[in-house]
Amino acid sequence: MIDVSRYQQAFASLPDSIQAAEVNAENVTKTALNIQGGTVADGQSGSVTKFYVRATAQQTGIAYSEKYDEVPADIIRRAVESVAYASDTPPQIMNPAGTLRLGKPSKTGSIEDAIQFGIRSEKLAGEIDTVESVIGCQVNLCSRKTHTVNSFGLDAVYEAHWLESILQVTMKRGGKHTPGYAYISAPSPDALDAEAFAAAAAADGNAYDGGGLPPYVLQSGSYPAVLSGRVMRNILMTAWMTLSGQAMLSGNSIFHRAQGTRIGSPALNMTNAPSHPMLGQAWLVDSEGTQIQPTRLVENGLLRTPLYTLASGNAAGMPSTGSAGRVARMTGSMPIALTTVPAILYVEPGAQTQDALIQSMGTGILLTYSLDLFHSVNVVSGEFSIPCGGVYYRDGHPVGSLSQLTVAGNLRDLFANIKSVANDLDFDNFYLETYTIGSPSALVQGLSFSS
Amino acid sequence: MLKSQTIQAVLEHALHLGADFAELFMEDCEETSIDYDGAVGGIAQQRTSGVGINVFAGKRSTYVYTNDQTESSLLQTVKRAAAILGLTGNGSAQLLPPKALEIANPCPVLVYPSTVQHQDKIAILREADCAARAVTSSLRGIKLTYFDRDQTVHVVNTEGTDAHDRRVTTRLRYIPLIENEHGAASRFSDFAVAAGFEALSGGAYIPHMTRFIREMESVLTAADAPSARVPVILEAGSCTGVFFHEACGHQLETNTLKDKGLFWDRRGAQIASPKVTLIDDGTMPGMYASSRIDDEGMPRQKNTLIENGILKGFFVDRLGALQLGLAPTGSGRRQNYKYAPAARMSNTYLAAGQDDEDAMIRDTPEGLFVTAIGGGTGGREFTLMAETAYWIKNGKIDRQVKGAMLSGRGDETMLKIDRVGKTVIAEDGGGSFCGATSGFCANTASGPRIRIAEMLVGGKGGLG
Repeated sequence: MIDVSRYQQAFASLPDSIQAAEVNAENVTKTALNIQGGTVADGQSGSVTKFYVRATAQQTGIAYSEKYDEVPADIIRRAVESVAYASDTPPQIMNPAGTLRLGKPSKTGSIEDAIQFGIRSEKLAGEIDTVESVIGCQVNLCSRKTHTVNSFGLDAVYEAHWLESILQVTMKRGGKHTPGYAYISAPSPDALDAEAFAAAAAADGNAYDGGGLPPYVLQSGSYPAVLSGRVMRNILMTAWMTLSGQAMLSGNSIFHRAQGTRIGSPALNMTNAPSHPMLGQAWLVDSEGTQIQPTRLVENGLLRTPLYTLASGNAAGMPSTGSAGRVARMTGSMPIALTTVPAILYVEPGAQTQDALIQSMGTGILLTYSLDLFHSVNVVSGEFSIPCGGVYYRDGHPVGSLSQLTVAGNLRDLFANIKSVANDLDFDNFYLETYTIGSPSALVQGLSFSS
Repeated sequence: MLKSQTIQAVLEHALHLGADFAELFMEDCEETSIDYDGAVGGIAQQRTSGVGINVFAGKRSTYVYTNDQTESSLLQTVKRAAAILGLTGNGSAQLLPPKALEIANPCPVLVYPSTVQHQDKIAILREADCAARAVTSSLRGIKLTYFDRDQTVHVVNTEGTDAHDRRVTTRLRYIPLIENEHGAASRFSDFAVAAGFEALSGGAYIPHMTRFIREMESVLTAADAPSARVPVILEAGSCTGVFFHEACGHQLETNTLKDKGLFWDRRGAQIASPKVTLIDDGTMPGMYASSRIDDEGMPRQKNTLIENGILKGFFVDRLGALQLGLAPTGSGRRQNYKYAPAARMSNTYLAAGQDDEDAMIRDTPEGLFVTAIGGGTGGREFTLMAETAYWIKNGKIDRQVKGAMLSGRGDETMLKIDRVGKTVIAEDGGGSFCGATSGFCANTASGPRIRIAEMLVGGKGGLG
């Protein structure tokens, strides 16, 4: 638990001019171990506690500090000063009195346990026939604690501990680089299966180019395609922003004014959840101290609700979905102000296997990888143009590998043309580790490819 | 900043635990941002203060960091590093006495942001708002953010390095929302300068902002780019610079070399057209990515990466140097103390060539002329998003096109460069950020106009 008692004391004796104040304290601790050649080649470990303070005089200002010894009253004063020149905007809403105690103070196991898991995974992956070499296995021991208190009496705490690992291999392809990748996370090392993990990395590498199929020269044009979970997740890593209530209200989303309307085919269901059985990480309480509730955003293609913070929810006449966070995208800006951030946002899986989707497609493209997660989708216009590669199928049989393709279109058409989704749901963390995106493979009709 | 006794105690403790080398990176940073969206939205002030400790044992390393700067916490943090590396004590390496390093600041500051009143910073935003609204009636709104950053770093290591730096940057971000009968568009751009508040005076940013808004508006009426393999001309400045950043820059960083990226074994080989000479220089006066020292306390330097198409050098940090047997190049950089340093680009530019710029278009029967790139990614395959581009037919600009994604492999595409212009233009807007293994680092990407004989252009406007 992070000690916020000094802030609580300061809140108890706020000057008359200050109507409300809040601190959102967050401690992130992470130890990352890179296992190579059966040992820790390099590692990284750190623990940082951050204090985000909001204070309302006439308006609400924000101040941030990483200095342990900074006096709360000084930070509150800085927050108030930060809006001294601001236009006359209504004070920001804060949560009312209430107590939340979520998450478990469990531990992820020792550094030695993590190292052993990494060494075992690396060894097992290296023993797989189709694997040329193991690039490395990174094992991360993570914990995230937040404690949000305010002058209304809110006292919200959550903590989560988890272990995650990334395994990267190269496949035997006679010198041609073919990568394989797997991501796994769990609350403790006991829940991690090194054998399945190693097999997943090899399977991913094998799928990359259809098991080493010769290159196929694709004629540019329109094709049906099965987008692997990886490709779907890469698209959603940016495209989820179209479902931000803030963006929808301000017109910065292609789905501006689309709530309650159909934005995808009946096969498309999307959920934002605080946790998922396949994952160790959990985002239980948001940066305003709101408990994150499982929320179905898209149901059978219908946009039920976007992601709301207290402010954007209030503007739309809706409750917060617990989606207030600090870092949503990669821009190099200071991540102080509250913005909309998902927790675990995923496309819900269907019942069929990816192979069944491919058989249903018959002739078309299995996209196994895509590049450029952050520039290739325009969330305002919905247009995308994504470099990618995969395997060409004819009558359900793989014919050749494809690389240096570009698939272009619009998110509206992509969502509308999803014919079915597979049962192979998997997840990836956002690069800055503030949320998680999941998706299974999806069969999409009529995508435009160039090569 | 820490007392010298504490620094010494922490470094000695690392050596005592069995480390061969240890380094303290101490950072204090003050940042201010002011949001403006027709009116002041708020002022955010961020104070960052922390310590990162890099510990080496043989060719292995661990990086640990904390913002609890008490001596006991730092000693505990070092102990964590030793545990990760499996060190058992009895180290024999000696702590060398610190030798202070004095280097002139390549980016002198006239007006430190902390000495400027908020009202004066807000006045810049009001001025920018007025200037933006005068550009076009299609501007539905513009979000502006003023940023300043004042970072003080102190690097001390067990080999006697004792280096200080103070880096001040000022930046104006604009996010216009353009909307008219043809559609809507919104994206961001920065005017970024390694200088104090003086950098924004006199409306220095207005030409860049005006161009950016006009480009965004023009894209709304552009036709969809065709899909084709055609010659691609990249305009001088950031278009050429970003191409090299993504096509080969990341592949020349030691982290990629360790993973046997495209060029790890190609030193001395022809990896680009003989017209290509690529340089990275962290000492260039006034450039956004210049500084006295890198984030490992080494003086910045000018590095030739490719000379007449031959691969000459890499971006090398201390750990990469140790592991790959290369000389460090003053390229160890990081966003802040929460990131281990890694070899990164700084001010990267293509040297001038001898080809006529206008003839590049004139001599192209059909192709793409790119005048603004929105971003990209590097890797074995790189990508570039052409934000503003024109289709060339019969040696003339035929029409503006949108949605063109350029992609290829660096080792193949750089060999296809058949023209390099005579005039090097610096990155429009001053500089930008690159997000990679050690976080966001400032960089610039510059060069003359170039032509690539053939590239894949991916668009949704049918076949070219």
